[in-house]
Amino acid sequence: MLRVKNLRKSYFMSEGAVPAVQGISFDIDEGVFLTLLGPSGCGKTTTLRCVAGLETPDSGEIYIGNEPVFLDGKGILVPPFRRGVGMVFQSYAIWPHMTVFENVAFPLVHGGFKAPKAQVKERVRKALELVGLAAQENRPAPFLSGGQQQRVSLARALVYEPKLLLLDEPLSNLDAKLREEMRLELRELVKRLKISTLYVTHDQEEALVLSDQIAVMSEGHILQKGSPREIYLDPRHPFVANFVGNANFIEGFVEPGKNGHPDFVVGTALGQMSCRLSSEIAKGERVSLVFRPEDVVIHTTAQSSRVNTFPGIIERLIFLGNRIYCEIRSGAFLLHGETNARTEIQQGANVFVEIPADYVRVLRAQ
Amino acid sequence: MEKVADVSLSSSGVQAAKSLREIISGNSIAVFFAWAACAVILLLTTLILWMSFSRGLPFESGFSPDNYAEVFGSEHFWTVVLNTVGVGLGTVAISIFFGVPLAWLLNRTDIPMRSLFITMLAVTVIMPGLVKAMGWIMLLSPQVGLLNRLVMGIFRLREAPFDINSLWGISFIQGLMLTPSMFFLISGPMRSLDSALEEAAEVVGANRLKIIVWITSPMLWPAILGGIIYIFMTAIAMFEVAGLLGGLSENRILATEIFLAVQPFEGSSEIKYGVAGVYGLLIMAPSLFALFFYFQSLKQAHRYAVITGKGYKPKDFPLGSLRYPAILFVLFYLALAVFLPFAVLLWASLLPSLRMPSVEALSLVSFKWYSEIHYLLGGFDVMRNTLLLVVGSSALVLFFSFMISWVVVRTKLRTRRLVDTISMLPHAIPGIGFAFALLIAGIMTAKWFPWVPFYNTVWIIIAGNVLNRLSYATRITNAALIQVQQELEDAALICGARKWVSMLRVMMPLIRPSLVFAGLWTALLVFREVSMALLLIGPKNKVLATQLWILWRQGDLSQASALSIVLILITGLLILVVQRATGKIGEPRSLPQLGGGG
Amino acid sequence: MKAKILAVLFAVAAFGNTAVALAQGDGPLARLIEAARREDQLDLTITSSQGEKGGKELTDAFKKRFGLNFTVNADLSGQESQKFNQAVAETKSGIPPTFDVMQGEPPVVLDLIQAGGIERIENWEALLQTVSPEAYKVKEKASPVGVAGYGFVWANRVTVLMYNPKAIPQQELPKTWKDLGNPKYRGAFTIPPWTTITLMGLLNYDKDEWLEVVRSWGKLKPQVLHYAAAVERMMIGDLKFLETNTHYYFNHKAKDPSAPIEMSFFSDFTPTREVAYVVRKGAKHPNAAKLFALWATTEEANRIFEKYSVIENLSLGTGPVTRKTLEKLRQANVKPVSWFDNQQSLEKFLWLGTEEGRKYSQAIARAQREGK
Repeated sequence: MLRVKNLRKSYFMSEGAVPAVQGISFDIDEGVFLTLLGPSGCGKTTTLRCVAGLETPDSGEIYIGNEPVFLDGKGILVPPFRRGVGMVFQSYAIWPHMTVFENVAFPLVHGGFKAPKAQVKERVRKALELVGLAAQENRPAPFLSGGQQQRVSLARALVYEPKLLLLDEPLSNLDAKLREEMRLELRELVKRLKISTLYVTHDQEEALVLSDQIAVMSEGHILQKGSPREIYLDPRHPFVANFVGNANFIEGFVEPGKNGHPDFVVGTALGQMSCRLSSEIAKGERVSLVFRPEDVVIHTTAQSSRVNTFPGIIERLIFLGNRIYCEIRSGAFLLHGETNARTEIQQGANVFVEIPADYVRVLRAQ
Repeated sequence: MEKVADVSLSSSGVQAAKSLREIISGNSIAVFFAWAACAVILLLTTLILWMSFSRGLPFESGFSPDNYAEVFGSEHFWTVVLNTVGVGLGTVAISIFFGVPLAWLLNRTDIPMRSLFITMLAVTVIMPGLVKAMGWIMLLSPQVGLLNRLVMGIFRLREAPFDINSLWGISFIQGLMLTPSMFFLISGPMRSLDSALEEAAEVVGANRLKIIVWITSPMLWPAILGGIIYIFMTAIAMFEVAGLLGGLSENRILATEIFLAVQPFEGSSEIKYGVAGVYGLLIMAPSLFALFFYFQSLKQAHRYAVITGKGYKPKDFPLGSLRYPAILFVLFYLALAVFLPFAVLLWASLLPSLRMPSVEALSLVSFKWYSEIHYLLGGFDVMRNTLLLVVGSSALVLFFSFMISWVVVRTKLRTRRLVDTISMLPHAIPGIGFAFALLIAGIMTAKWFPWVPFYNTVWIIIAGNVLNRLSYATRITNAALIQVQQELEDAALICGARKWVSMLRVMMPLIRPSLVFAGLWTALLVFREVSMALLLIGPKNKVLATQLWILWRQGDLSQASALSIVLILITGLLILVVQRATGKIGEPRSLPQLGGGG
Repeated sequence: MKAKILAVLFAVAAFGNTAVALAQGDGPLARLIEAARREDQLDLTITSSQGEKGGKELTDAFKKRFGLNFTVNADLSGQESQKFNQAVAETKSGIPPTFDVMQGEPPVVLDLIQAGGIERIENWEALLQTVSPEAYKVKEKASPVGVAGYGFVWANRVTVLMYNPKAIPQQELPKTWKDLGNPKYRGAFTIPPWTTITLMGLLNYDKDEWLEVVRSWGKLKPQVLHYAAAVERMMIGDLKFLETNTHYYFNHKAKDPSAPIEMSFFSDFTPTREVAYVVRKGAKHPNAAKLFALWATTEEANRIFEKYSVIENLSLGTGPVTRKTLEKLRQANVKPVSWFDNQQSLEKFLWLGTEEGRKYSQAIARAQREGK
């Protein structure tokens, strides 16, 4: 449904060109929900705006459906009003001088999706019903709450049944509770309509909940693309690991195994750690070990027989309700771990941390 | 968050190839009209430059530096320059003294009767400067000034303490006259300041005065600086006050020197266009210098970009016990700048001819002149021309300033800076300079394109006024368009609306209050404008302002006053009607929340 | 149509045989009237002091006199010199003139003649005799030396001393222009920003002597104000006296007989300036224009001018305002002088256009403003 190839875009400032998007490529298949996830300034919004036609890329190719909307070589540039995409903005961009109805009807009345007058009413009502705002159609837009404005914005994007829906951090201006509600509602709606969606956010939880696929971006590049499960459980890049969820990082060198371990082990600041190495990593290489705090097992008694178990002292405890978050010092290394909320544990206590070998990802050091 | 980056990143030009694409992508209408306006401005400016280098009419004589030699060689040159700068700075000081507190009081506090006060400020604009000066002469003349006599009586002075015939006097009156300009220039930014920032300061425990000094003022600095530059440029080009208060003798300033140069000495038709051109350029020079600073301050404006954003609620600052001093301050200004000249006008309009107030004079009071108002108005043609002039000029000014601001604010074209600068150029050129250039242009048009109805029509006056008012109006539309979030426009494009549809259906309605204000303000000033009109009128394009001026000039001050009173009342009423019809201009709450969010 | 007939009838009634003869005859005037009628329009300037009401009365009377009924576009914005300057520019660039007939003082008329912008009325004497026999009797004044056949005088501007009797008694006023430089008058009077009147001192004084006189005024650093503003300020007592045109006196007195304004005369000389109508070369309505220029010299026109503009026509010498001024002049025993009185005075004026004369003008301007 959407194909982006080798997209590049720079901004020009007095200091010179500042690259925002540096040659990214991705596809969205029919009915798929793809999220561009990354911190601010990573180029995700620029990418989305290039797809919408609101920014003109420096080079690359963009196809919506099978139609090229931007081909730098052939000089094809389809203006935004002909791209037929739906878009919801971060600020909702509801026009304050119009009523809810007028806002939603705009694409059908003044926009490029002209519909006969009789139909307009019907279609606007349908769109408003879709987002649960049918009763509000005559209210002036500024009198709506943030959540309602967001729904109007969505209705306006859906009223002309676009082939592609673009969502630019649509939930970031809502408060936490409302955000969670809208998140689920949005997922329901998109699934029901089977509409191809490109979603932009910096909120990893949002990305995980909503997406069929996530592309993590940093500094104008896509670092990893995959299902939420792949992204979370199998990060291929320290940045991805750290940005999606929390992670412990430890660096080391690959050494031959000892003490009956056939595999290689990695020598780190904590000591030697066994882990599963992929075949492309060779002996002597510098690597990063990544493991998530929730995979760390904290023992209060010595567990000498286990592998990857290291002594430590609890430096800090944070009670989070459903779990306890711990910072544990082991030698020079500060390790993040989590444990069950009911665990009896105190600051300054001596503990043993176990890092199960299966949960440690080994990445080539950058 | 990236959005913020986008806006500031895009602030300084893009590749040429990109420009071309942008044009294709739909800004071509705006670019076309913005450059059309700029081309005319540049053309006329060139004509003025040309005039300054020729002794006679530009098209009949070659280049010569004589005009420059005459001006710079004058022994009074430096006196004139220093006086002019002095008057400019003095005027600025007075208009800041009144304008800034007034803008704050009437926009950000809970002071009562705001709408009425603001209407009064607007109406003063059409009061002829001549009357204001005459009123102050009656109060502060060393010979007969009522205030002078009072003070002399109280303190048993032998000499009058105040002399209105001085650079101080000129600055004082001009300052009072330009205070509304200052007020309206900074009202917009004042209103859209996010009160959350003030509240933040309040939370940290800063007292009210400190908030105003350290929080509100610095945030307004770019707007105030813009205002200062605007006032300075206006002040040094003003003739009417100085001309009455010694500007033609010892208090000479650039504007009065221009007057002398273009005022053909009676009995000779020789007009020193060229010398006037040189003086005009002299007025332009500091103005261009000031413009440079203005743009510098704009460059840093993003640091102060607190405008809009979600959750923006204009909140009135509670005055509490300061309420009464505040009202007194507003009334003090109104007394000096509105009531006093109005009283003088009223007094003069009721007398057969002007007298100092006395029992004898009181016995002469009658409404005679009011009964002759229809003759003073000048008949149907004059009314029709005036209407066309006012409506036509305002509409064109709005249209072109919208187009220019669109290019400047809402595109990333490399040339937009240039467009912005050119659009400010007319402000640096005295109106009379444009009028001369237009006259020449009109004659040339009649020569080469005799079928174009321009020379001796209302349109030539409209052209002059549009050029003259464009700078001010673009300041307003620039500010308004900056406030509108990019996404509101993007949304329309995404909905399949073409660029012009989004301009018409989304952007224009969004900045409507600003457009209404700019239109009204333009209309008032065009209505009053006389110096250009006088040069450009012929048998069929007479307008009210010139009718009024002629009455002054031939010594019928009383009739002129009666006519002024009538016009002021009509205009005041019209402003009130417009305010009602379009949502009150004066009320801070009428500002739409331009962010798309709640 | 009806109005037209009525107008003709009225004209016939008012002017009896003359009008009938004018309308029916076959002479040059009848042809002129007929041609004017076909032109069906007239664009002209009228002195600003005439006012809209007075302007309408004037043009209505003109139309009535010749049984014309067409559109008249009158410009009453004054700015005479500027308009003549514009006319020079129009002529030089070869575009049709804005106005068919314009009024101004002979010096600017001369400029426009020189530029080739004025149409001479070839048979003006014969025409004047029929249109305005009263002006024909004084034809050397009605179309004076230097502009004869080009300009037709409809009024004179007489410059006198105007004072506020509450601020200064008449006997303390300066008696002559020379007296004006007396230091006791410091701060009492103003001078205008132009030197037109001042230069006319040459009609009575030697060049160098006069320059000294003017310097003595400038040394007092008088305020420089336009006549209208100066008169206002004098009437509120801010100033005591000033030079200006009699128009302001008559105008204020007509509105308010008790107005604190009186006039007095300089006994050394009283400058007067003719104001004349000229027909523009290439005018769109040349015949109507000629007719009007000639008619403006009549007593009929003079009556209407005196009623509104309160301005003299010294050559006719018949209107109430004119008679009052003449009477006062006689009492004061002063003779009005003008550049265009005779060949001799005209030569003095023309000298001002020479290189030497220009330098002298500049010296006078400086002396008047700065006393240097």
